Amino acid sequence: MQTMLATVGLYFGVTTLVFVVSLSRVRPRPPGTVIQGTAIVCALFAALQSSKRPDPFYPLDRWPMYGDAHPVPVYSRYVVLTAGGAQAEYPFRWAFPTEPRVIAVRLDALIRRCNCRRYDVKTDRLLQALAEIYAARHKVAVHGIDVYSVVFSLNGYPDQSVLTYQWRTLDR
Amino acid sequence: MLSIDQRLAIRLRTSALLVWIVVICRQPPDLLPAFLPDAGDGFGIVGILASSTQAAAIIYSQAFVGTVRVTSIALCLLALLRPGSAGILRVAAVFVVVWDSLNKSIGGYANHAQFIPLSLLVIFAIHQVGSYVWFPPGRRDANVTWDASGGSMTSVACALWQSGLCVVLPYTYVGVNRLLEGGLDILRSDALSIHMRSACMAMPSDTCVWLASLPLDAYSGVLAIGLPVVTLMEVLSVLILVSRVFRIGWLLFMLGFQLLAAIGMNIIFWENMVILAVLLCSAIFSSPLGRSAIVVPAGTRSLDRVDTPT
Repeated sequence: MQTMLATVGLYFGVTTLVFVVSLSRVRPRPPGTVIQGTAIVCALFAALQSSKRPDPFYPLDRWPMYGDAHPVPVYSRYVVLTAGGAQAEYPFRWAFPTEPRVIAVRLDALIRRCNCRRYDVKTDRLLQALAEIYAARHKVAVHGIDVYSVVFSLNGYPDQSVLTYQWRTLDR
Repeated sequence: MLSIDQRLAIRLRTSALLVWIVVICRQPPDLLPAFLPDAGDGFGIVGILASSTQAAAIIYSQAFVGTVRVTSIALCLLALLRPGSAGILRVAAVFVVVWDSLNKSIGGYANHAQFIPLSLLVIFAIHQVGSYVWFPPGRRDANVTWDASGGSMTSVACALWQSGLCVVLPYTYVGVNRLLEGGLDILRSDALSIHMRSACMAMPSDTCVWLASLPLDAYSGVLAIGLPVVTLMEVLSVLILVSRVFRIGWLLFMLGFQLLAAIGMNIIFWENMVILAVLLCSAIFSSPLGRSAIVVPAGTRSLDRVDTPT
């Protein structure tokens, strides 16, 4: 609780500092400028927090955002299994050009949350949508998608893959 | 006649509109509904609108998403072609906010690559900053002029001030957050190498995979110096509102940093880079030394600095 209060306090401190410094450059100030600016900052904060998600939003939520000093050296691989036993990395950037990481991030969160290796309804639905898109674009039959968690080392040791989730067309 | 502030405001508004047209056009229309979440799991305005199952069925339907997409593109184009009309831009901003919420609902987090262009669109929807007016052929003596009815200096000053806030605050938060989360440990550890490799291998590109294949010793020195400098620049972002020299240096540095993030981590913030490039051009070519081009006093100083129409 104290950490959260300190974080929020610091963010409001930083915001206030930026606000005051920037305001000092506006001269002469149009009437209502301070109220308008304050309203915008508060509305932004309230809008983010009221996004109806189970977790509080940044900055109330301590989002690591590449700030973790001791991150776990791990990433996820999404492997498409097609007819004839062929395997391919799922092309997220091609499938979702504007925000390619979001689907992978959401799937990672769903798999973490369900703590299971098969038959999670939400995860299956997303993977099925990915499989259908892949099949339509590549004109191949997709048999399934495997999700691996890959632990890597910076010292040249080989990567270690662990299967974390399986989706098969027969699961539908 | 256009002042420096008015020109910058118009360029920022145009850039924000162009960014959104490209972003929305690049999104394949049939993909969005397939990935949208359940009722109650949406983001922002969509999370509120689609809180019930019935409402979610409408809002996450192909017809609704397609309508929002096409209307957003059409209104943004119209706002570009009719820059003097505040009403069009305001409606366009509403549609883009809804489309952005739909897009964010897929991942469930705010993509800060699109945060600045979205904020700019909303700001310029609130403040009318005027427009260039192109006269027909035969009147080339004054082919571009200031549309006096389109906006006041007060609106321009307010819009630029709030635009400055929207550029500075996200970068400041990122820097402060990194220090809060990682403390000084992050500056001394191999954390950045691990973050880089995780980000790259999760979404690999040829260049980042090649970089990741190099021995750590080959680039650890660069990272050890680079990370504290990046963090310092982010924390000190507010100074770009005060000093033009710092602003030029900061914008050059951040553009380079975004480019390196694209090469080394395959994280591409082209939307931010467009806005930063517009601000950089303005800071280099338009603004007198020691004065702010992002936030310039309305009425007095800025009226003294009037450019010849081009």
